[in-house]
Amino acid sequence: MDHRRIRTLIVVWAGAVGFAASPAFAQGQTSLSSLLPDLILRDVTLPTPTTPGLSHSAHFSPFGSDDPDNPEVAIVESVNKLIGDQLASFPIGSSTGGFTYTFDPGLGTFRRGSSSFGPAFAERATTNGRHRFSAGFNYQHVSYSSIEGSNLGDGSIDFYLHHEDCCSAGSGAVAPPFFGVNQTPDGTNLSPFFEGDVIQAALSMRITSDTFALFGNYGVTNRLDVGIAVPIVRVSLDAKVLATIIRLSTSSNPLIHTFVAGDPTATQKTFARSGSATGLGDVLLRSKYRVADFPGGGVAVGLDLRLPTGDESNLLGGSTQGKITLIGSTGQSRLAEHVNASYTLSRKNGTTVPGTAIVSTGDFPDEIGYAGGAEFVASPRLTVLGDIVGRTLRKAGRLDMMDKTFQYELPGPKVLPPHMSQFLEFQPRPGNLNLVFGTIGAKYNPRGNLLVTASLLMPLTDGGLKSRLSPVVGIDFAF
Amino acid sequence: MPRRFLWRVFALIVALLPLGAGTPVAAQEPADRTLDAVARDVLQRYSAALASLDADAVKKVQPSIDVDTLKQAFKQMRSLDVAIDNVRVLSSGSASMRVSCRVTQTLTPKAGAKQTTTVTRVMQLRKQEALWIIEGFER
Repeated sequence: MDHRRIRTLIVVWAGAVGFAASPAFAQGQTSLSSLLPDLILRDVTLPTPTTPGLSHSAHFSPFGSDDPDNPEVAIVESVNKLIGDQLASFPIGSSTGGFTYTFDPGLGTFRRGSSSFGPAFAERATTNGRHRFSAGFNYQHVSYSSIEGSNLGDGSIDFYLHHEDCCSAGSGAVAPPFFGVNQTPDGTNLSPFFEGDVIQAALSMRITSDTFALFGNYGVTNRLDVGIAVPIVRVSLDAKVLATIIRLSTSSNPLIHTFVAGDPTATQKTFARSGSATGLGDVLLRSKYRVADFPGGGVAVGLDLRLPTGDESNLLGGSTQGKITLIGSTGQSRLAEHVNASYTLSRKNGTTVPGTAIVSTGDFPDEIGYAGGAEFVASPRLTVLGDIVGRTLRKAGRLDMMDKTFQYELPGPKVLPPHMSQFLEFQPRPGNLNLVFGTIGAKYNPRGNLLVTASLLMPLTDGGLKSRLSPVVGIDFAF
Repeated sequence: MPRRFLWRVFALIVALLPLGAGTPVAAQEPADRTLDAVARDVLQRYSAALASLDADAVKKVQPSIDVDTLKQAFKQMRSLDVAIDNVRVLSSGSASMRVSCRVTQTLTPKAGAKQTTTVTRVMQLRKQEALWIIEGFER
């Protein structure tokens, strides 16, 4: 190996690992895993009255009114968990080592491990070869367009914050804002009447992540490779809710719930939070053992260990996982095929929103993975590739858009049954999350042992957090 | 005097002994040179066949070679320089011999960087009709 190349490699690795080892730094008001719960469950408040009287300020805020049993908490928690799980475990490209020539004693000359340069998001059975080293990096930018089929950016995801059960009908002052109530809950939102109001929080959200992953692979023997992938991740969240007071029960008393004290027309207000965090993601230790050979291909077993080096509270990682992969590939002709099947076992962990018991990132789910694809050797220097990559996040939880019914009373004599209104809102349910991606791309060898990779990752399913078309570029060098 | 003479005669005999013993060795030299030349000739044909990236030509020297795999390997090559030296005949029979040699190959691939490897190989040669061929590699 050329000494200048080794020095350059060491400098690049030392710089990157040094940067990556520094603590994650976040910009914004709170940790990213708390951003959404804080925005929806804490921030949406009404103004504090300037004159003495009953304050409705935090009556629609489960965090502000210390109401963890509010059903809205579970809904936001589920949405947040789904986002956190997928951001922290989004697949990074594989480091297949590009190409290697090894001396084949039986053949009496050199033989390339495979005619192709390998897949982009799957693994193939070929190994580097004894004492051969390859290193490189991948960069991928991912932005997300929808969650469970609902557009993230157009404000079509609504949350409905019902009024806290703050009060009971009593003998207080009759004039507004007291309406003759006592400030002690009575176990129902039907009395006093103003507890029947609802705030619709229409969420718009922009979520992006950028991952720069450095990797190195070393052939311990002709059959055994060990490797490491060090991702440096930047996650950015930009969320806002357009809060609209839906005066189900106070339409005749519009000054009770308003975003501007004394202004009955102030029924809407936008609340926003944004933040980003950059730091080390979860470091991957990889190994691959080629157990069987056949002409141009073989069967291998991969064992990956994912270390929880990423800051979980900022959605950079935090998952401890062990993954076993069965790999089969061929590569003798111009068309090479590969198939992977894997199971990922996750250690359970999770974080909570500071000061609450609300789970902001949940237990990372176990995962069943599969991939299959082909590489076409367009020329000795160019491989065109395509993959289907599937992931089943076991018991990750799902969200269904369902009608939710709110009951309310109007001022005056009670009616039975109470008035009802229905709104469409996410409802969490248990279940597996199936994600399928397609990739197309190319690997090109411009000179020497340098390999340049460019591919596109496209989601083929609507479940969970759906990404847009994500570009991935990379450099691979075999020494 | 006779004793001194006897010593001289003894010294002469001792001095002449190597010559006497050397006579049969000198008689074997052409045979060794022939085997050595045969081995060199086979290896020369083998290296030329490899360097020409012609799998069929390699098969003529080494009939047991997997031609299809070799053709696949040659497809990835732009050129292959082959040099064989340190040829030694380890043992021989009437129609076979074991040969050790050092093989240096420099590969210029169609994709990837040039690389060189040097290996010491031990191979078995066999006389097939009038032609010597490589029967196989021991290492």
